[in-house]
Amino acid sequence: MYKDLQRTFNRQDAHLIAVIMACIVGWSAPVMAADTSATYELKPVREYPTRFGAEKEMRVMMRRGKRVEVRKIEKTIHLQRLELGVLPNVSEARAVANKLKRNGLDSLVRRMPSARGYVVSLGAFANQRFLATLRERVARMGFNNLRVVAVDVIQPRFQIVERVRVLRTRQIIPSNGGPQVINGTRVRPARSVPVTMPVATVVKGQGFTSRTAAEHYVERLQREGYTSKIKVKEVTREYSSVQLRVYKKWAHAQRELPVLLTLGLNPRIETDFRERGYAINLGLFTNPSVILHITRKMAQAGFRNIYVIPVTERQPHYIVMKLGPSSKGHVRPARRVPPRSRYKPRSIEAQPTVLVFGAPNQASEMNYGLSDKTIRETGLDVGLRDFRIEYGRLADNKAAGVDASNYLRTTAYLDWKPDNRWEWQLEGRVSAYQQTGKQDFRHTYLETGESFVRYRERHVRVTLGAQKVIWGRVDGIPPTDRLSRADLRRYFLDELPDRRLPVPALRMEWFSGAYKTDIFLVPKFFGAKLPDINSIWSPIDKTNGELIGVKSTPVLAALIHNGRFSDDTKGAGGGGIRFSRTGRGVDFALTVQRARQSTPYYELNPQLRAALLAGVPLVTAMAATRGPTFTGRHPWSWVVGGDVGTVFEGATWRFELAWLSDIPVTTKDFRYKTLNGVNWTAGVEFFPGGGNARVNLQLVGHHLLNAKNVLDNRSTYLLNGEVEDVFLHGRWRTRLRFMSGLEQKDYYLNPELAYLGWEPNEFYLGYEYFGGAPGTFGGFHKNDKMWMLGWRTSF
Amino acid sequence: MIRIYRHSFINTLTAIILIGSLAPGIPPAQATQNAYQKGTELARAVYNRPKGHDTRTQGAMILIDQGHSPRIRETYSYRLDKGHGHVLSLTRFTAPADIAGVGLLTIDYPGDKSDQWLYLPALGRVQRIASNRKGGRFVGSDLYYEDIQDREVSMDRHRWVGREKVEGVLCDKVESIPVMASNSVYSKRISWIYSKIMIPLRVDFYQNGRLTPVKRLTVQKVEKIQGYWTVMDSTMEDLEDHHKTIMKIEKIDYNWHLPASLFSLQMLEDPVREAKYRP
Repeated sequence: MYKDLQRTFNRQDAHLIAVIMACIVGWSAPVMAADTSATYELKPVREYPTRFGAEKEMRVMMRRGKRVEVRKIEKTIHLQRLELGVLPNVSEARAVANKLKRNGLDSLVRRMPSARGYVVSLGAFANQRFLATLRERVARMGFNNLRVVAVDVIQPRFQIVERVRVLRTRQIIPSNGGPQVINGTRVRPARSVPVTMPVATVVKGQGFTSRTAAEHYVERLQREGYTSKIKVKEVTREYSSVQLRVYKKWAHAQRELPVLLTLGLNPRIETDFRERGYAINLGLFTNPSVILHITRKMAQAGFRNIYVIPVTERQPHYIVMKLGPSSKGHVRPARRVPPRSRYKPRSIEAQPTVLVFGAPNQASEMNYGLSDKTIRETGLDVGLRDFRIEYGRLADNKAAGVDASNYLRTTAYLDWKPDNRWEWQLEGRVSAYQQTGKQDFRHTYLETGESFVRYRERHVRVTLGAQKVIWGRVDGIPPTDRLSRADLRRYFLDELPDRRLPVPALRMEWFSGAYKTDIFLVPKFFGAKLPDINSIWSPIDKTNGELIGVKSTPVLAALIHNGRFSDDTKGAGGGGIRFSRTGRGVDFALTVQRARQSTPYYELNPQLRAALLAGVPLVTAMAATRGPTFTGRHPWSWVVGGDVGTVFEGATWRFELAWLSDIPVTTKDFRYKTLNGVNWTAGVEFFPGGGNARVNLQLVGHHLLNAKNVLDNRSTYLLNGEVEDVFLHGRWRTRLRFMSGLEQKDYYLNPELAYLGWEPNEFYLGYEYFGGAPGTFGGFHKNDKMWMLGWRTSF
Repeated sequence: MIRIYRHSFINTLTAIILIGSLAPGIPPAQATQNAYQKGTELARAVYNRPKGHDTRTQGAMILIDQGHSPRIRETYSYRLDKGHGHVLSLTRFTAPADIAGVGLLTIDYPGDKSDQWLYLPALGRVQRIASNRKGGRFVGSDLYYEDIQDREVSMDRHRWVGREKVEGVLCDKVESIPVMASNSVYSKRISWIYSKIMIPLRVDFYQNGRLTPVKRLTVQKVEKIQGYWTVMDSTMEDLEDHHKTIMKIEKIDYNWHLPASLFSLQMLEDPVREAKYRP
C-alpha cells in the first residue's frame, strides 16, 4: 500500500506521506524519519538605479517563467567630488561658476563655514577616467585650485531577486514523552493548558498608531483566546519637523541629497507651494536630543538653512480593548497583577519655559505704559495730527521793513477704515501767517487737507479725492515732481512734504512684485498757493519792484511796483503715469506726464509790451492797457523723465532727469514764449565715518534748449542739501540746510539746533541766511535774514 | 524726525543678543588651538541657534536717561528666513507719533549684501538707503547699527577664556576680536554664553583697545516660546554715561507662515495691508 501510494503521488509529496504513514502506524516502535522541508531563498539577479528599470526587467523575466520580485536596497557608493576653492567670498565663487557655465560645465556654489569660504562643486563621480578628464579640462581653463574630496554616498538601488527553492532536511527523533530533537536541538513538548474560568472581563486597552498593527494584535489575542475590540480615537500629536529650506529649484535640493545620505539621514524632497520652491524634509521627531543631534550634524556639514518646525497633527489612534477570554479554546491563565507599590512614581519636573536672570531690574520691570493690544489700523480714528508754532524775528528789520514773521499750523483728521479695503479720510488744516512791522498782515486759512476715499484690492489701490503725491526720487527739487501743488507761503523754509498741498485727483496704483504702475489724473488745475503780496516770502516785491529770479531793470521795477498781478489757473491739471521698480541692487522709475507747473511764470501784458516797444511812456502805456500788468502762466508741458537710485561704497546715490516741453521764458523784448528744456538732479547721501552725522548733497541743473535772446538763464546749476547730526543720545540735533548757486553768488543757509528729548515734541532755534547777486533767489531775499524759535509736535 | 536706518527692530531684540557678536577666526600663535576651537564652536552654535522659519513680533525699546523721562519706540516686526542667508524683514514703527507709520524693509542676501528701503509717510515715498553702516546710534538708543546687523561668525576671532557665573548661572566666556578692525566699531567683545540655551546672558563691548568695556548688554528674561528660546527682556547700558536701552518683546509668534509678499514695496508703503499680520 505504501508503495502504491508512492507511485500515485509525485516525489515531492513522498516525505509527507511517509510522515502520515508513520502516524497511522503509530509510535509503537522508535522510527527514524527524514523530514524534508521546502523553503525559499531570494537570490539577487541584477541591480538597477531606478525602480522603473528594475520592474521592466522583472516583467521580462516573469514572462520567461521565473519567480522574481524587486526589492529596494541601500548601497554605499564611493565617489570623488571635484571642487574649486576655497574662495573667500560668494561673489568670487559665483564668478568662477559663471566662467565654468560659459565653458559648458554646470557647477554649484557651496558654503564651507569650516574653511570660512566658498567652494564651487563640479559634481561627484565614480568613474575615475571621467574625473581625470574633467580635472584636466578645468585645469586648462586656468584654475589651479582644484581638489578632489572623497564622498561616500548611500544610494537607493533596486535589486531583482529570484525566489529559489531550497530543500532542507531535518531529523526528527521522537521519544516517548521526552523532548524532541529538531536539527539537533532539544525541544520540550508543549504542555496542555487546562481550561480555566475567566478571571478578568475587561483589560486595559493598548494603543497603536496604525490599524494594521492593531489588527495584528487583535489576531494575536484571538489566538490566545481573548475577545477584543478596536476603538478609534483622534489624538493630537506634536512633532518637530527638521527641514532644509527653501530651494528654488528641484535640482538644487537634489544636489544636497548625497551629503545628507552620507550623514545617515533619510531626506525627502517636498514641494513648498507657499514659497514656490522645494524643501528637504528629514522627518518628524519627538525626541529633542535626536533633533539636536541631527541639526548639529547638519550644521557641521555646512548647512545653514536648517529649520525645526513644530508640527501638530491630528491622527487616528487605534486602541485595542481586551474585553475578556473567549468561550472557545484554551485560555491562558491571567497574568498575576503585581501588588500596587506603596511608592508613587516620581513626578517628572516640568522643563522651565521662562528663565529670569538676576535681581528684578526696576527699570526693566516697569511697564512704561506699553500695551500688548494690537494696533489694527482699522476702525474710526479722530484727532489732531500735528501742531507747529514759530516765531520769526527779522535780523535786519529796518532793511526789510518787517519786525517778525510768525506761523502757526495744525491739522485735524477723521479717518475711518471699516475694513482692510475701504478708507475714508477727512482732513482739515488751519494755518495762520502773521507779519508785523511796516508791512504787516495777518491771514488765517482753513483748508482741506488730504481728504479722500481709498479702495484696496489685492494688487491695486485706488484713491479719489484731495491728496498729496510727490513723484521723483531726490530730495529738495525733484525734476519729475510736476503734478503736485506747491505751497509758496513760506518760500523754501519748510521741508519738501510741507511745501506741497493736496490736489483733488484720481490715483490708481498697481503693484506687481518689485514693480509699480502709478497713474495720477488731476481734473482741475490748482496753481501754487502764494503768500500775501506784502509778505517777505512773496515772489513779488512790489516795494522794491523785483520779481524773484529776474534781474531787475528800471522799467521792470516800475512795472512791478505799479502793476497789477493775476494768475491764470483755468482748465484741467493734467495727468501722468509712473512705472517704477524697487528691487535688488537698483531702483528706477520712468514717467510720462502732461502737466502744468503750479508755480506761476509771469507774462507781461502783450498790449502793454507793444505800447512800450512803440515808445509810449510807461505811465501812459500802463494807464491805457486793460487787464493786469502781469499774468501768471502755467503752460501745458510734456514731461518725459526717469530716476534711478542705488547704493555704492556705503552711500546712497540718486539721479533724476526730466525732459520738458514748453518751459516759459521771456525774450529780451519782454515777449513770453516757451522752450524745451532739461532738468536734472544728482544726489548722494552718506554718513561720514559711519557715525551719527548724515550728509545729503544734491547738484541741480536746469537747461533751456535752443534758448536765444531770452532774459532767463540758459543754464543754472545749484548745490543744495543738508548736514545733520544728533548727539547726547539723540536728545539734541544740529542741522544745516543750504543752497548755493554755482555760477553766481547765491546763498541760502539754515542752521538749526533742536531739542528732541521730550518726544514727540521738537523745540528748535534756527537762523535763515540769504545772500546773493541781484536776480538770484538769495539776492531777492537778502534782507529777510531771520531768527526762528519754534515748537513742532505730532499726536 | 528720528532717523531710522539699517535693519529691523526684531534684529535689535534677537540678533544682537543671540547672534550679533559672535564668530570664528584664526587663532594667534600664542594661544592654544583648543581655546579658539571651542570659542568658535560656541559662537557658531549661538549663531546657528534655531530661530524659526518666520517670526512676527510686537516689541518696544525704552531709552532711559537719568533725570529725563523715558523715550519709547514701539514696533511691529516681521522676519522670514528663506534659507541660504536670504532673510527678509519688515519693521513698522507705531510710536512715538513723529515716526509712527515709518516702515523699514530689509532684504539680506547670502554673504554681506543687502538692500534696505525706508518708507516715510509724510513724503509718501519709499527711499533706498545704505545698509552697511556700522556706527551711529539706532533711533537714538544705545545700540549701534552694527549691533543690529547680522554679524557672521567668520568676521571675528573667538577664543574660549573659561567659565564664569553670571547671575548665578555658569556660562562659557568667549572673547571675540574682529578679524578686520575696519569692519567693526568695537575692538573686542566678551560674551558669557549660557550653553544650555545658547544665548549670551551678558556681552561686554570694548572700543579703541581700551581695557574697560564701554557698553554692556545683559539679558533679564528668556522664555521658551513654541520651542524656541527667546530673549524677552534685555538691557544695553552705556557704561560711561549710564544711559540705558531696554528692549522688550510684548508678543512673538514663530512659524506663522508669513508670506513672502509681506516683505514687498506694496506692504511697506501701506500699513493697513501690513496690519493684518500683526501679532
